[in-house]
Amino acid sequence: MNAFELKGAGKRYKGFCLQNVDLALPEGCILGLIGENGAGKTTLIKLLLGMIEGEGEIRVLGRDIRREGAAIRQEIGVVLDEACFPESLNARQVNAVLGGMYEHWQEEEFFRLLHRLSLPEGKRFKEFSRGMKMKLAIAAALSHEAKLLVLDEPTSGLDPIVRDEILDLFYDFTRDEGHSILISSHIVTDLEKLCDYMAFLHNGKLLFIEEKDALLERFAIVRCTKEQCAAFAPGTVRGMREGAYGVEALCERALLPQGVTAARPTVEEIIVFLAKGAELL
Amino acid sequence: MKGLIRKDLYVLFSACRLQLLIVTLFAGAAVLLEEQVSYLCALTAVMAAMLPMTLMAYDEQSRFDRFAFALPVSRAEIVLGKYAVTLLSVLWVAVVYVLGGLLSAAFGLLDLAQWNLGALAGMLTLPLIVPALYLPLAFRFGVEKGRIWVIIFMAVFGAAAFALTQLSSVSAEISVPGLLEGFSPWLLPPAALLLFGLSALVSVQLYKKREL
Amino acid sequence: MQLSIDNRSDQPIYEQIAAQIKAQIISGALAEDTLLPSIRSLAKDLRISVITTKRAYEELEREGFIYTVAAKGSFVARRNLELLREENLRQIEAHLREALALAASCRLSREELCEMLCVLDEEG
Repeated sequence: MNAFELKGAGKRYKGFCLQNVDLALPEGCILGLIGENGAGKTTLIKLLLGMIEGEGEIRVLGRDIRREGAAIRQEIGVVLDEACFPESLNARQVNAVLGGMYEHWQEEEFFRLLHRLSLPEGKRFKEFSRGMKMKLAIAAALSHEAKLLVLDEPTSGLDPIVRDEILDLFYDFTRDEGHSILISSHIVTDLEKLCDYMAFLHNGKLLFIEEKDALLERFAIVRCTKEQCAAFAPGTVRGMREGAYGVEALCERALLPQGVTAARPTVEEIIVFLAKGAELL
Repeated sequence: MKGLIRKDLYVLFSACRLQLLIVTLFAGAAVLLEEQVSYLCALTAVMAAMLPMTLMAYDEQSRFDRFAFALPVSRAEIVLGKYAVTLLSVLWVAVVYVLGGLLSAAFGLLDLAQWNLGALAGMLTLPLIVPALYLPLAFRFGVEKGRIWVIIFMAVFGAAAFALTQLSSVSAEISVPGLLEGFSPWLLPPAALLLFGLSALVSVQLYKKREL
Repeated sequence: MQLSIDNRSDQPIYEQIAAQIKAQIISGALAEDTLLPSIRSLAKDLRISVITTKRAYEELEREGFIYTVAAKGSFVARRNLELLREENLRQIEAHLREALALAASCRLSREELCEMLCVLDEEG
């Protein structure tokens, strides 16, 4: 079963349009969603969770999110960009509130995670730093036997040491083959390590979704002169950056002529160059 | 829905502590202070009527309202949770007034025959009718716009509440023409409850369409 | 089993894993019929993608170094001398190609290269 399936999903706003997204995540896998600010990542996530109305077919954990939203969300752990509990509540009260909503709420697990993440039980949410709010949301998402984690920028605002800890938690989550994760992040290096698949959203369109390994093998960074670049077969160069001493180009490795030195790209380079390339089209 | 109600109760007891205290004190005081009874009753009713709006304002301010869409609750449950808490607060007023009356009688501070139970009718009605009118608007347009309507409704019904309490305490001497003859203030709370129920249904439909 | 991954290397990660497991099988560090960690737990312990470890195991199986029993897992295959020889030949070929490429880049002729080989052999 797929953890989720989007067919022709879309949403129109006044200044922005998410168009025709076909995206599926096989069960047990981790999908990284990357794209610049305003590309539509959060809109996509909101559609997936049934938080907003849009076009297309959206199935999560085998069911239609529009018909059975609340029931499906029992099994989805959510961390959104702003973790929002009423300011006057503390962690213990949050425990009681969420315990009254999730059928399979694990109170011990929640407090265990709170302690592991060094969160105080009695302090009001108002006094939490941004990082602490994030950690609380993550603890909550992992405490109700969720099958799917949907994470929108879950590590932003966290220092590298804590980020590492959090990624560890996500890794542990996926040891179970029934567990899947959708994670959107700017911090591409986090995604690079964690993900099985990567999807790139740009200006409301899904440019690609591929196995991360295949992606890193498909492209290569070539550093050469502009003339050499122009001499490549059409379709080889997917994005380019010109410098004073030559150009840096992202190319389809398979289409490169023999003998050209090509380096392995990072995911960050891929998206930056592809975005540049898309602008030129 | 249980979790949502819990959340609202927590907020009531922490952020809205002062309002809750005032409502309780006024309700209790209204039992005893016979001359000011009508004013205190009206004030209690008004403050109780404001509580749901205050709770919605806190939700909006903390952006919990958006976050709730990501939780395993339906829009209907979100709406009904608010209505449930409103009912609970009205119940609270009734409990305080009745207990207060009984306790005062036990201590000889109140003559039960003189007890203005009719005022209770007013105190139950206003906090049901006013929210019944503004909650759908708040759910549809948000708290900011909803507030304007609250003020309007308050003005209209504040006056009515005042008149109501006057009515029951001087019903024997009232010189209002036949329409109000034998009019029992106790007809109002059930009517208010009916309106309240209808309001809930309307709010659910409105909120289902709302985009945050 | 010892495994270490170099993220910065040009060599794909699945190749690194396959090569290291292969080396340990050949050296005998991994005995016959040893149960290898599951694809998933290996991925999680190394903090890499499940797809990568799957590919590494698939390659090892294709080359005959491991075998998989459904619902049980993957095991080290019996040490096949033929296989070992194949593997060593493959490595020698790779190293020789490297040497040839380097020789070409500094214009070393084939005769000079062979001379070097003989000298080294006598030394060793």
